[in-house]
Amino acid sequence: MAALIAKGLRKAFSDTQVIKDLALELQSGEVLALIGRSGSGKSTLLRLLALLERADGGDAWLGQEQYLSEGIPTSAPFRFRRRIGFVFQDHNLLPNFTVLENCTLGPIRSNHIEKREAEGDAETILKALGVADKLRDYPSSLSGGEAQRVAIARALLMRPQVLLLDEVTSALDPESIEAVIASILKIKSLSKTDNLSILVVTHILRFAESFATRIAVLDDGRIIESLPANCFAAEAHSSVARSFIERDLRGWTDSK
Amino acid sequence: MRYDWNFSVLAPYAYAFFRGTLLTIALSVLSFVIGTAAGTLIGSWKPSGVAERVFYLFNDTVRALPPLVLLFLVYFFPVRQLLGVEPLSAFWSSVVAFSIAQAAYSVDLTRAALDQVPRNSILAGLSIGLTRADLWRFVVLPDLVRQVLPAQIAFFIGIIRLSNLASIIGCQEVVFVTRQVSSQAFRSFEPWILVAAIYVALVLPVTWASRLIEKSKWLKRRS
Repeated sequence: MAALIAKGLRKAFSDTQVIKDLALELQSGEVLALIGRSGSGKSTLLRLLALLERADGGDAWLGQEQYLSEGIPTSAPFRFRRRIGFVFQDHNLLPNFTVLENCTLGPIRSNHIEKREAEGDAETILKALGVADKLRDYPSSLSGGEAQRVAIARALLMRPQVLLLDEVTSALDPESIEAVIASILKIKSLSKTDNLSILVVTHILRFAESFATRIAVLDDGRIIESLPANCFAAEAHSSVARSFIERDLRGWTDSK
Repeated sequence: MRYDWNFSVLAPYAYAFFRGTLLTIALSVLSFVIGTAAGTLIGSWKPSGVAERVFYLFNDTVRALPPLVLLFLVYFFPVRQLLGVEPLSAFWSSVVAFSIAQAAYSVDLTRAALDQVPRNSILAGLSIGLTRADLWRFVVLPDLVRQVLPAQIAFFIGIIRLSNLASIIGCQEVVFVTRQVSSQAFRSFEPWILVAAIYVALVLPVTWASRLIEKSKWLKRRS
């Protein structure tokens, strides 16, 4: 069963067509990694899917429910955004809210969860991600890696059906990248949603291979290739994929 | 050379000064609250095209007017002839005029501050499914208030000092009282010393409060 389907998705910025008639299917429980050159439209695609950007056209379904029809949300966008988790490239934590407040605002206001319960959930997840000692801190006092882990917790605590991760490690130093990736690897076990589906945009192929079930290549606004992760390196033939594979031989970090 | 200080002549007028001071406070607070609320609302509204240009022309025009001229325009506006209703009292004409001026300043302040609300925070608020109202309440408004509060307090102090213009159209606020007392008591200096003290007593606490607020942890924009 598909958790998320998009068809005919289009988006242009002024004269540049960034997403061109794109089709995508994310199976329930699947982890799909999306790779592509910078400027290929990866981030735009995620924002369109999360209704953080207005599409010019296209249809999309969340489970059985159509939420985008010819580029227009079929109901108030916040109803769908609540079910689609999003982790940004720069953590985007609210600067005037503490870590705990950042993590409970959505559950309390959007999902109508009791404050005490939301705080308990938040503490559990933040502890599992190794940032439980920062509960009362403001984002400005966190390191980049810590902030990004809090952002992952914030998205997870919304108990989304689908989680979108947008190059969450690209603004970090190698050490933080490791910690954040370790957190991402825990997402599935921490999620309270059965069969959480994850779409992750990354430029680290080795991470994609270890974490994802499938890898798709985005180029020039379209998905040009999509393969199971375990045979991607051997079978991918597009030039974009090949350049990623070659570059990856030089490694991202030499962690386990 | 010596000057015969005589503050005792003011004693019979204590109640008049008290009432005048209350009126000054009422005039300032009402104008500030009404003007700020209206200006903030209007500033958050984003007109486009012709509506925006017309609106800005109006706004800039209001800001170009000296407060006294604005006051006369409101006070002498032929409401009975044009609108068929009774004209406003001197007090309410002043409230309307000062509110309009304060609103015009607030519109610009609000607009500039809205542009400064971090786009990343708005995206974050949207991504956790906040409704438009919640996005305003938890993300936009707190940031807006933090940004405009120091300037708005300065405007408030400005209104307190400016409110004495209302005496010219006969609103019996504290400067009006002072002018009457100085002619009736045949002492022209002492009443003005007293009214100066009253203004200082009104404004200084506001200044101190604004310093406290500026230093407070709560007002800090952490970004």
